[in-house]
This record gives sequence, C-alpha cells and structure tokens, in this order.
Amino acid sequence: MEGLAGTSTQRDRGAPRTLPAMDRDDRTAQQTLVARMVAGDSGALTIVYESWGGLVFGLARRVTGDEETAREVTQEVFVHLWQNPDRVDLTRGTLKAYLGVMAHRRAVDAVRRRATRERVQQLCEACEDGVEAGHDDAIVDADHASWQATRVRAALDRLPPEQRTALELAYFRGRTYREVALELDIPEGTAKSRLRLGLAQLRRLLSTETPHEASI
Amino acid sequence: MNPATTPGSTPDDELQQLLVDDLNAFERAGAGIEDFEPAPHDLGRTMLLAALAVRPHGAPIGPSAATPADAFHATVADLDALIGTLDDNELESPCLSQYGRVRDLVAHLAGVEEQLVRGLERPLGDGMAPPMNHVEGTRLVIDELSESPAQDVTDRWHSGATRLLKLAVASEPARPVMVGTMPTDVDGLLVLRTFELWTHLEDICAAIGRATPGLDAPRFALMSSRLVQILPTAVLLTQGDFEKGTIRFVLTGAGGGTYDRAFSPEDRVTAPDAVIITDVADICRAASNRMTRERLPVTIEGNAELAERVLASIGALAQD
Repeated sequence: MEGLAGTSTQRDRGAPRTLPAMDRDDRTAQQTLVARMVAGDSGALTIVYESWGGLVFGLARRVTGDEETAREVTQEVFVHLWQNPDRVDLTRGTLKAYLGVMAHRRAVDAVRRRATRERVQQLCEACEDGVEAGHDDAIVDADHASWQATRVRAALDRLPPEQRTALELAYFRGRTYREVALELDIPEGTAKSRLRLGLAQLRRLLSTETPHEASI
Repeated sequence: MNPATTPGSTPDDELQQLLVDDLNAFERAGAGIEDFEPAPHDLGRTMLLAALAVRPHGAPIGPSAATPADAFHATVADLDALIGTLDDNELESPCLSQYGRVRDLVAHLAGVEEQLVRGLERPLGDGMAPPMNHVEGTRLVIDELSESPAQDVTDRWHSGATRLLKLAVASEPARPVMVGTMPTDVDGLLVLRTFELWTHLEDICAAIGRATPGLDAPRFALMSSRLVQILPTAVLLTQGDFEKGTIRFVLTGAGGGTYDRAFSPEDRVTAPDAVIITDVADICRAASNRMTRERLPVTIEGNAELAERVLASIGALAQD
C-alpha cells in the first residue's frame, strides 16, 4: 500500500485558489466550517477570520478602546477557536454569536488586566513619591456607546435603578456578581437578588419585542 | 430569547446566556454588528501563524489513529460479538448476492483469512503469494462449509483471523504481501482486513435489519489516512493516468482529518486545486463500494472536475 501510492502529506498549503462566497447566515455552512476546523483544515479558519474577523476586532476595539489590545484579543479569540473548535456549540447560537461573546469576554479580561497593571503602577508611583494612593476609579473604560443603542440598553433603562446599575456593571463591564457586590458596597446576596430580578425583568421586556423592534 | 434558569446556575451564567441571546437577536434583526470594518489583513496572517504554532494544519482534534494490529484486533472482536448474537434465522438470511447467506459471507471471511495466513507462512525468500480473485478464491471454503453447523463456520473464521493477527504481529510491518490482487505490506494487509471486516459487519447488519454499530475514531483515522494514501492508485487503475493536481481531503466526523494529496507522477504536493469535504465514515463506505458517488454527501471547492474524477475512482480498490 505504502510503496504503491507514495505518501500523503499533512502540511499547510493555504486555502484553495478558488473559494466560494461564504453564506455567513447559513447554519449548515457554519457547522461545516466548525467540522473542518475540528478535522484540522486551516483553510476553514481563514474563512472564519475573513468572515468575522472584523466583528471580533471591532468589538474588542470598542471594549478596550485600544487598537493594539484589540489586535491581541482578536488573535487570542481565533487561536482559541482553532485550538478548541469542538467546544463550539452551534445549538446555542451562531458562530458569529460565539465569536462575539468570546471577543467581549476576552476584551473585558484585557481591560481588567490593564486596569490591574495601572493600579499597581500607580501604587508604586505613590509609594515612591511618599504620597498615599488615591481611589482609582478608572478600572474599566469599556466603550459601550454603541451598545446603548441596542434593545438591551433600551430595556435596561426601564428597570428600577438598583437593578439597572447592577446589570450595567455585569453586562457592560463584565463584572461577576461578587464584584458587583463589592463595587456597590452591598452584600453578595443582595447583588445576586438584584441581578436575578433584573434579568427576569429584562427577559420579560425583551421577549415581548419583535425582531424588528429589537433592531437598532 | 427565553433562557431557562437552570438549577445551580449563577447570575453570571445567566448573563453569559443573555449575551449569547442578545447577539443572536442582533442577527435575527440583521442589524448592528455587521457594520464593523474588516479586520486588518496583516493581523490575519499573524493570527494564522500563531494558530498553526499551537496546532499544525492537518492535525485533527481527537484521538490518534489506531495501530493496524489494534484496529484489526478490535474489528475482529466487533464482528465476533455480532455473530455471537445471531440466531439461526439470521445466519440463514440472504446477504450479498455473490455469497448467498450471512453464514456464507462468514465462510468467505474464513477463506480470506486462511489465504492470507498461507501467504504469511511462506518463507520470506519465496516472495508474495500469487494474486487471487477475492471472491472466487474463497468459493471452495464457502462450498465446503455450506452445510456445516453455523458454529463451525464462525469458529473457523475466528480461528483464521486470530492466526492471521499473530503472524502479522510477528512479521516485519513492511514485508510485501498480496491481498487478493493487491500488493501491499503487512500493515497494509491489516488495514485492508479492518476495512473488509467493518464493511461486512455493516452488510450483515443491513441483511438482518439491525442498526450498524459505529466504528471508533482511532480506527476511522487509520482507515481513512490509508485510503487517502492509496487513492492515486485507484485513479491509475480506473483511468490509466493521473489527474494532475493536489486535492485537499477534509474528512469530518470522529476519526477524520485533513490531507493534502498529490495526484501526479511526481507526487509533489502543491497548493490545493480542489477541496473535498465529506464525512469520514461515508468516504470509507464509498471506498468499499457501499455508497455510490451520487449518495455520497460531499462539498467540493475549487476544481470540481478534478475532484469528481478522483471521486469516481474511489471504489476501484474494493474487492467485493
């Protein structure tokens, strides 16, 4: 068998010269792309990047407000996808949604890391200057101007203020419920309760909207 | 947009789901997040390099391929387990027309194992056994066993398969051998035997109306990688010449993989002229002549004519 046919090789030769236009909304096409990545086809990763790289990069840039960090986040997201394509569950949402969630999460992480670095740096500087470090409130500067136009933003505005504040911190700034509790100086149980009540109310508000109403 | 609150979920879980739902709602509304500019092109290249550094092109997610000996051993066990559950009526059920009944198919397998055992028992200096028609070469055994108790038939097959495995494991993997009319080596023999036993296991299940037990990923990985290696031979057999070009086979499903295969006398892989995307089990069935090209679900990108010519040859290696 070996001697007859020679050997096949497994190496990256790039994508084929002619690729069909990708129908980005086609669920079957997305499943095929994921299956191709599971099978080790880097050409599929290229197609995914060409289709949704702009989304990931754009989201990351909005959240981090920094082009270089957005590039790092984008690379992280696609490398993670290539390493773990079998974890993509297309029954929960589209590939675009998956990438959007990943981009958002990683961007928030990047902002947190940056904030931590800045806080440490400020503390050090303060120590060196012999001055007591002041309160650092520039923790996350996620640019959510665009999100404010979304239906979620509109629904949030209709919530009671204490629920809205908790959800804003969690949804737009990626805080966990424990961090929400710390930030608002309330018990964890109260934070949990506000988030749950807010989420339930938000769902009720959103579920009554039509897709058209949900558009921005 | 109605995510259920699962017991034990935290508000963080629910928020995560809400974000997923929100992005899905964006898509349903066809709004908003399509408006981003394309990502920087140089970033795509950097990303690809970083990605391929952690997992090379062609390396599938999942277990690695079985060894030929392990694959054959496991498939003998699978077939033996199936046969052990067959009642007399099932053993007498009509199966493939060239054999007759299920028990005749098992007798054919016994005949094949015995032929191959004889081949491996030849002293090395005697060279390979002569080519033999895969079906007709076992006719004497089928006839001899046609009236024997069914248990004798299955015992004879199992005994032959066990003996074959022992001889194969004791042989040099690269020792040339003849399987039917196909020259190969000992490892190739075991892969071909795995292919045939799996194929006939599915034939028996189809004949008696049982669900087909799936093959595990390591065996599919072994079988399909060997299949892709030998495909140029199939093209030569059916078309007398190579269809020149490189084809990327993307075999999906458990045990799949990605293979860039040259179809040229020089055996030189270039950038793929065509991409064939199909399920690993289905392409194995096509190679066994159990699935026609028309029924094979396949996506082709690039040079469709080249891909179709290769696909048309895929069953040429099947011997029955």
